Amino acid sequence: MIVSMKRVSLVALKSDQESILKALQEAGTVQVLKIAESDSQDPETDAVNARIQRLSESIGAVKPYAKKAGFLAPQKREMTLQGIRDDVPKAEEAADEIEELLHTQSHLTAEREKALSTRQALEPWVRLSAPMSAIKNTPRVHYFIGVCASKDQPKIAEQDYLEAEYYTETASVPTILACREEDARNVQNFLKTIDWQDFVFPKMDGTPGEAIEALDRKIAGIDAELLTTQEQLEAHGDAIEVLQNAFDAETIDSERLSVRNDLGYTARAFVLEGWARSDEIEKTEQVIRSVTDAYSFETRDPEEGEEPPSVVRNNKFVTPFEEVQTLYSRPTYGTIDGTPYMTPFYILLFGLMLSDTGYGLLLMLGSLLYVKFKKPSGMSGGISRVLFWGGLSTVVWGVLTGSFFGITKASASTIELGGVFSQISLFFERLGIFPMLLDPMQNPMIMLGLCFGLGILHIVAGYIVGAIDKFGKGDWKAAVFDQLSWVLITLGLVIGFFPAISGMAGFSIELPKSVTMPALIAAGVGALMVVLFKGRAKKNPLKRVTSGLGGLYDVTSVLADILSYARLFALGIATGVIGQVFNMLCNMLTGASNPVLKVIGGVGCVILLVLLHTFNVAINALGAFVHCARLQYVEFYGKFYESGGKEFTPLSYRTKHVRVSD
Amino acid sequence: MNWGAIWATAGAVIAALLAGIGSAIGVGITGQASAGVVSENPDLSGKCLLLQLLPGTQGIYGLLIAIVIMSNSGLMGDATKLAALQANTALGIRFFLASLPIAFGGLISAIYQGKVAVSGINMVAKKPTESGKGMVMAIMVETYAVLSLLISFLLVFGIM
Repeated sequence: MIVSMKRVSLVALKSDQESILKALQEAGTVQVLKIAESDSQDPETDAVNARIQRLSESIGAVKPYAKKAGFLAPQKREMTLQGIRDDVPKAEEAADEIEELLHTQSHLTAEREKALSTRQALEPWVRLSAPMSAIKNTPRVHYFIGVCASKDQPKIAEQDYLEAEYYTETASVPTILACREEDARNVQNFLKTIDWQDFVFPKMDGTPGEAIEALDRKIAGIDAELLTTQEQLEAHGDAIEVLQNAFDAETIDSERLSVRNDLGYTARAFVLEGWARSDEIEKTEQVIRSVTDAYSFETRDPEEGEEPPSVVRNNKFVTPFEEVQTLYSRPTYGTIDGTPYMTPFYILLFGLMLSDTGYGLLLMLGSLLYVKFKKPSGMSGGISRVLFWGGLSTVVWGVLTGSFFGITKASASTIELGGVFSQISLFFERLGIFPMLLDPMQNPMIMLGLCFGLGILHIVAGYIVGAIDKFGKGDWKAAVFDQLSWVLITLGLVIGFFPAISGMAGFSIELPKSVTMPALIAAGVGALMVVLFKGRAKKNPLKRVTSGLGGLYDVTSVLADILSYARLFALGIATGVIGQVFNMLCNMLTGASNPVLKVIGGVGCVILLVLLHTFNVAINALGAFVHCARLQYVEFYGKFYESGGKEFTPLSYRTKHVRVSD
Repeated sequence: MNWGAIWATAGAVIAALLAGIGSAIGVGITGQASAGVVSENPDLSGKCLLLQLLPGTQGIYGLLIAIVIMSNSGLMGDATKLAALQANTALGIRFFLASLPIAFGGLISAIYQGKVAVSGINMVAKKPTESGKGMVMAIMVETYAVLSLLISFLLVFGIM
């Protein structure tokens, strides 16, 4: 159900503001609304945010060197607020050092790049045996240093006032030209006509060869320094927990500080407006009272035009499925929470899409261990619990359809699967539960019919939930004409035409006329209700009937909805057949007659079976999860659900790495 | 020439081949998009991986139909079935036709599902909490691959 919300307003003294906000944040019950436009930059908030930024950079820098959390470690470690606050000074110190190291690192890297590029530029000049600084213009002689294309060398040779020296035999040649000072201008003009690029020697001593050696020594030195810096960074890997704790502590502060900008102020007092759950009002007031007596706390119901956040509350069993609903959208405030109605169908249909006892057991075990050790919360916590129930349903459907890790009665007898598999099949057969209901591979049409049947049940349930909701709101017209009419049409048509439909599916079932006739009449009544009352808001009778006839066209979308449940069958078959194929492939490995090969093959067979079945259960559980969710969102929620509710985000401890405990 | 067996083989080939190509393209483009997002934010790799997996199922459906055709037509060694197939070209053609829905439905839906999943991955980059919606959008496309699979499957099972 959707929790009713109250608008709360609190007026209290500014001197109590910080302690009240702290207490409210600990309680996590009030979502603060922005009632004041404050453009003043608060230096305290800026400082906290800068610290958060710095801590986050430090965490990123040392994360690769941190000890990996154990495979079974909880997602978030449990810490007290005081515990993480105490880590802040230590973290600041570590962040200082890490920042310094990062700075050194980037500085060294830049130096190294620069040295490397100089070295690269000098490389072609190694054959120059004179010191680079010696090549400079004198009053009599002008030098040109540059790179020319080798094809232009003959042209240079033609200029008799030029003396040239080349240092490589490549396509672009490092060249030094010398001429008399008075010819310098001519040479410049000449150089413009050929492929020539000026080159400037770096300011270094010695010949290019010596300079390159010096650069190599420098790069080696930088590399050594980089290595030390790296080692020092690695040594900080242990600080990651402290850094993360401090990050969360600062995040908590930042969130509380940012709320200050949303409050209204008078000279001595502050005003806080917000939303709180109606069942947490008392707790909220207690929290405030524990800080001060000087306050005014008022609550009222939401008014027209206000859109309170939407929170749903359900019993412990249904709660995890709220996450499935949230994946789609929260319900609009004041409408209906679909979770309790969707839950049984979700479990039922999920299992049908996997329908394998072995896979179901794996899912149950996996999600159980995940919840036990990782202690997930929020979305992943909800979904892992949903998968547990889905796994249970998969086990049940696996028994009904007779499949255990892809071993079915038929596959065990027709495909030679080695002793173990047929023993498993025989074991289940002796228990009389293999399959208990039917094997979908042997009777595909009956299985498909069963899927459609469940779909019809699901769709009709959707209409009925909508009808009950509308009755509850006093809108009996909408309940009868928009919802129940469709129940009549859907069920009436299905029952009325059941003999024909079952005939098409190859298992003709005759129903007596005394059943089919009333069903068809009911469908007719439903259709008449839609035609006459769908457009009841319209005054003009002609428009009203046209709108009604248009409404009747929705029967096609109901048909499409029902056909959509074919996926239950198809995905179930896919899981089963792929499992069988994997068994068959692995079985081929054990076929050797040579005993040594047989042992090797047997080991390979076991390893492959584990890997392949894990893959199959993973990919098909993902498929089942999402396809099942889709059936809820489109086929079921389409009949009654109003999406678009806003998330309730109270001022609370929103941490990333730790779970704050008392 | 035993055309029956050749037609049936062609059916198994085209189912696995085209659906496989589609999935390869779909998973390929989503993989590229994932790599881009993960390079910016490695924490999102799990969510991106789930989205990348979605266009991969068509290839599995194609494989499934291929194997069902092979086992039902006797291509996997059932001598009586194979003899019946070789004696009857029409039977082989029926296997071939039965493979077409998943071959083409799988090919095209996998590519488009990949494109939707790429958009979903881009959405995850901006709003990591909304990955579920991206998955639902991608699964809408997969519906048609599932329907193709269903028809191919029922047709193959209707033959023998």
